[in-house]
Amino acid sequence: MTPPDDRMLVARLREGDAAALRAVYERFADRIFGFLLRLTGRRDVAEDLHQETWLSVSKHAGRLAEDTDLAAWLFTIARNKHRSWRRWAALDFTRFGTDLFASEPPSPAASASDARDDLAALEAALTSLPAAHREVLLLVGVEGLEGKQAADVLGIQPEAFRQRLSRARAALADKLERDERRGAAVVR
Amino acid sequence: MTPIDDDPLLDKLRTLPRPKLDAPRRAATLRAAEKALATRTPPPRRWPELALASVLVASAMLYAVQSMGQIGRIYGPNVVASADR
Repeated sequence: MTPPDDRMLVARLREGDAAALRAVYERFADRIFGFLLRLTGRRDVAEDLHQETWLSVSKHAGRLAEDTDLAAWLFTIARNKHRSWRRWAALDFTRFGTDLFASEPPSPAASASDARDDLAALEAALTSLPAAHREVLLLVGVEGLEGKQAADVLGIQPEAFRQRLSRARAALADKLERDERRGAAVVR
Repeated sequence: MTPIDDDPLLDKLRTLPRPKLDAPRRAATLRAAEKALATRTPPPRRWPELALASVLVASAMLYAVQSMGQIGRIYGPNVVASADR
């Protein structure tokens, strides 16, 4: 269900209202950036994709349906930008010189020196998951999207979403447990 | 939809720090988006493609009706009765 404020913003966006765009940007810019940064693992790429996302928002705002769920729409655009980038990067042979998929730490908290810290361990475990698992956990866990919104963003049915979330959650828990065991072994 | 509200692991994910864009980049992206919003082209007109689709649908329906009539004339009850005679 779309909140009334969102309906108003969508209506104004459809008319090309710059103030509405600023309000939406204020609310979602950092969330979208965080989502992209954790998906790509690279700040420079995330910044570019973030800009492309907002240019697409402006370009397609006039075609929005009245009952568009803003959060789901914005995260869908961001996810599509990331998918396009991955496809392009997979075809780019220059990556043999510089690995485009090589992640840099998404935040200082994820560095190895802080590995004992709970959040750093969680961040590192999340980074190590495959993209399909990471995106569902980012949408539901980090961004707090509802199940239906996340399923819409991923373009899958609710049942498939439930299964993917369950598998992703199990993979994350497993990774955390293994890391914890390894850490305990090193301490001993 | 899913029991995602009472999952401690997902709750923990919500506590991860939120990365932030640096201020100049943030402002530049907003400026670019505002510019794109101001200069966006109106959605393309749909009527030529709708007109073409309507003509095609009408032709298909006419063809189907004529075919049914033709089949009726060839295999209709009157034809069968006269053949029996």
